[in-house]
Amino acid sequence: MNHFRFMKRFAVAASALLFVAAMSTQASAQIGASTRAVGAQSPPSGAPADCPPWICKKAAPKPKAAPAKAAPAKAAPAKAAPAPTLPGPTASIGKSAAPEVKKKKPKKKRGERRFIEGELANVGSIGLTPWENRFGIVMGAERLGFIYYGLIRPEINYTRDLWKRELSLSFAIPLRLEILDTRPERPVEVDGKTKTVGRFSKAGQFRKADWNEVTDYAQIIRYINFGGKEEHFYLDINAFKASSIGHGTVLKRYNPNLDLNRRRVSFELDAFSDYVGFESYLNSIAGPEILGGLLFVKPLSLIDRKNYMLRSFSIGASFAADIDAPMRNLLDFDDEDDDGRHEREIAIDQETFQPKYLATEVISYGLSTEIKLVDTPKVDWKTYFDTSFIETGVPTDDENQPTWENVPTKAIRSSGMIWGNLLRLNFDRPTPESEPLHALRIRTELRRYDNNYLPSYFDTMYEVQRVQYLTGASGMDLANGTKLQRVLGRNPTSDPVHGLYFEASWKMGNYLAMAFAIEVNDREDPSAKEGQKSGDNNFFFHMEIPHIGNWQFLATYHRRTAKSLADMFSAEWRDNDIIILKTRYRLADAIHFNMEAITPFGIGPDSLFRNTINLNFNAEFGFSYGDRNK
Amino acid sequence: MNRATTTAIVSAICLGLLLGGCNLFKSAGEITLGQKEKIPRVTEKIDWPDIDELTGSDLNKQVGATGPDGKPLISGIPKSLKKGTLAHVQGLLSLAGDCRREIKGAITAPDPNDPVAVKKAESSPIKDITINITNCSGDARCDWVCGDFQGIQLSAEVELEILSEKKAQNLKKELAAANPENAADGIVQLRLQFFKLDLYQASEEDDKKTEITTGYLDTFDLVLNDAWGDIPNEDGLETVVLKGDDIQSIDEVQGTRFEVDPASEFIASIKQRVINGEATRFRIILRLRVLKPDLYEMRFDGAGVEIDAQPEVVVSVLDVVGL
Repeated sequence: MNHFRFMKRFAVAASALLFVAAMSTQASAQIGASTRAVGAQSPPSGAPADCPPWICKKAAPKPKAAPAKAAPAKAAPAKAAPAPTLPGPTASIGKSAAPEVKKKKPKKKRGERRFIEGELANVGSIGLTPWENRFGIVMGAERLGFIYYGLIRPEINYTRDLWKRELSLSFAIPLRLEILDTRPERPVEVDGKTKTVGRFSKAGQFRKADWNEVTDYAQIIRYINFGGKEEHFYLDINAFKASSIGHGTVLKRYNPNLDLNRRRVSFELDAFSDYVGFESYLNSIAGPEILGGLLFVKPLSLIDRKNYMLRSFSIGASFAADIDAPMRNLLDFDDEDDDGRHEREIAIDQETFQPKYLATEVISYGLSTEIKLVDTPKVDWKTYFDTSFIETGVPTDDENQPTWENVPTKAIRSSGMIWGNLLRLNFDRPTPESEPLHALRIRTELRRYDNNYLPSYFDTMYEVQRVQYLTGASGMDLANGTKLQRVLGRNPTSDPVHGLYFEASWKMGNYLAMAFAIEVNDREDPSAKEGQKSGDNNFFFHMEIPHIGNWQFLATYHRRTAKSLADMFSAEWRDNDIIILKTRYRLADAIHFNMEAITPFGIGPDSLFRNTINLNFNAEFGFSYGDRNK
Repeated sequence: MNRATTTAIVSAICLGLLLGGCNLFKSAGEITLGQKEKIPRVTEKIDWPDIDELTGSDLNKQVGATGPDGKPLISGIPKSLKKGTLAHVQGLLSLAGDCRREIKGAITAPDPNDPVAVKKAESSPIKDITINITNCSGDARCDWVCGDFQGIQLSAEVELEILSEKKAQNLKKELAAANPENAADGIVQLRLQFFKLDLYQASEEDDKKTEITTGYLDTFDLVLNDAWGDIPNEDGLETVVLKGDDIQSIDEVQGTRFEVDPASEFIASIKQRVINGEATRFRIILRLRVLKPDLYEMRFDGAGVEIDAQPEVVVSVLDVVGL
């Protein structure tokens, strides 16, 4: 009965959302003809003009037949328009006589022809965005820490064009029913009495921890997205995407949800004009720990904003911080999970399944300048120079006999410089106003930095590596293996490191997106102990099919902190590899299937972050709605 | 949708369901074999051997004995060592010119007329007890044990059988039937759940009462050693399971678990025995050291160590079947 009431309420909420959407559609129609905004997530509505015939089975909508009756002719003007004048001495007469026929060059309005500038692929995303407006109930299984749950997740998503940009909304209510607690039988105190809790003691009960704090309600949001990255306005409140600030010098493709046991909704707001702009980021709207920002000015726009070089020249100040950066992990001396491992594992909070650690702050700040060298309808090339600093405190006590209270630390400041180039190409545009079929984006960077600095310190794997700086080597120091100690605690007097970064991505309409990147450096640290050696060489490959027919697909493979080029491409599976593979298939409108093979790192039975491949399969029952699906 | 497409989709869904459940089964398949599975619980009070037996008959003849003149043969030695401290034991060993003595088979044989005691002894997992006492007083012969340490080192070695040959053979068959290549990986963890681990001695005021003497220990190690039976202890592979500081954390009601280091050679050896279907025995060695100044606080007679522990083996069913 309760479930029925719940469904009813949800249906009412969905109806309300639809009503709001319908009203705003009407408002939008009054503003003008909407153009289809394109982003990595934006699926096509119907068959777009730029859709190649080998992909699109649907024919483009035919133009409406001419009306049976011709529209009544307008009344003739009071004065007949004079015949066009010929150039020559009399032209001035004609000009003064008929100013309304002057052939003015049409003024280009913003949004009429869009150059795709932002990220072309959802690298680092751990979720798929449905290609249609849809309400559904997802049913499947999910693991949090040591416990398996049955998942019931009603969700609704809605996308529409608003002010020539795309607005996407998605909400869900995850309800978890416990199935199995994999921990051994253990006594717990309930109301002053000791009770033995077994594997199935709480089977069938809802997970109260999901909804017992006000901040828990943030998880209702899956995403609220408006505009696009590197566009004039961008708002993204998201539960599965990765984010970057500026050129990614300090914060690049950081995903707060790579830890399987924690769901956070991040916030990103960017805006810029020809004179000033900013980017901002919080990793959680409910309680941010990692935040970043960039504020920039374009002073030369004051001289001539029509000159793209002057208009594009910007100077910015960036900031990023982890205000709860793990400095030293607490070990499980008291065997809180009762598995007998004690100091052989990290202490884990048995409610949240998050590691316990002593924290400090890691703060980064820097300056950034950029200028466009080429700006044509097909080519956009800008070059930039960033310099940044990272500051924190690292422990000075003996690693082998670590202290757990009042840890003595010394202040650390390291720095790095980057010269980068970003080339963006848009081509194969069927009409001047339509979206290009192909977009290409290439980024190269030349880097020079201190031995105890790391470009893009807050990176794809930061959420895991902040606790365990996985390097693929054995003999990891559990207490001191934090990223703060393993990177910022390196010998600052060693030779500076030189590095290269190359990234390329390609997007073809909304049918295919691919990206890969490689990051290498010449760092050598012979003094590092085994288990602490890290080459900091990274590589990723990403492929994405936003929507073809009934199918959607996304796959990313990351190899992080490889020691060498050979190590980077070896076929051996490493403990710091990431695989994200997600696919969705529409069997019928009423039923969709989702399958994923994913290595978000969750604290497992051995209380360590492990990249065990998690295979999940679930079914979604629901229905699509709105004209977006036609 | 044609038949081929439908078949492909249904096959993909079935595959997905199979794979989707895999991770769930992996953790669900980690089964703890313990008391319920009849892995015997070790509940034993190991009394230190009789002081006379320990110090040897040669010395006992001298203790308390008097010469023809009626005076003690060894001045300063009490007539009885029943109330003697470890300091006295050290002195006696020095007098006897010994730095190390070993008493084998310290387990008390049950009264053959008591069927309950006989049955209990037969079902007991403890097959043998050996006590060693080492006098660390600079004797070069015992440097290999003592090093720089000055005092007394006591060790009690309990030989324990967690899987009889019959059980081991049965398990071997199951493992072999499932997946012999990955069978060793199927054994995830070996651990001991302690309910009690105390060193005690008879109270000075009342012989019937005991007092805990754990606080006088300089070091304490509980070690597992894979050598048993005729294999000399020193050749066995050892791994430390808990140390003196851990004793305080043992909860008598709920029990406290201590894992055997999964990376140790000891574990590899034990796993191999299980896979081979051999009776699985090992020694629990309680090794303790008392510094010279504290020897006066610890008495020998009426003292001993009490251990109450449940061995547990965690088995991953999924690994056993090779999924």
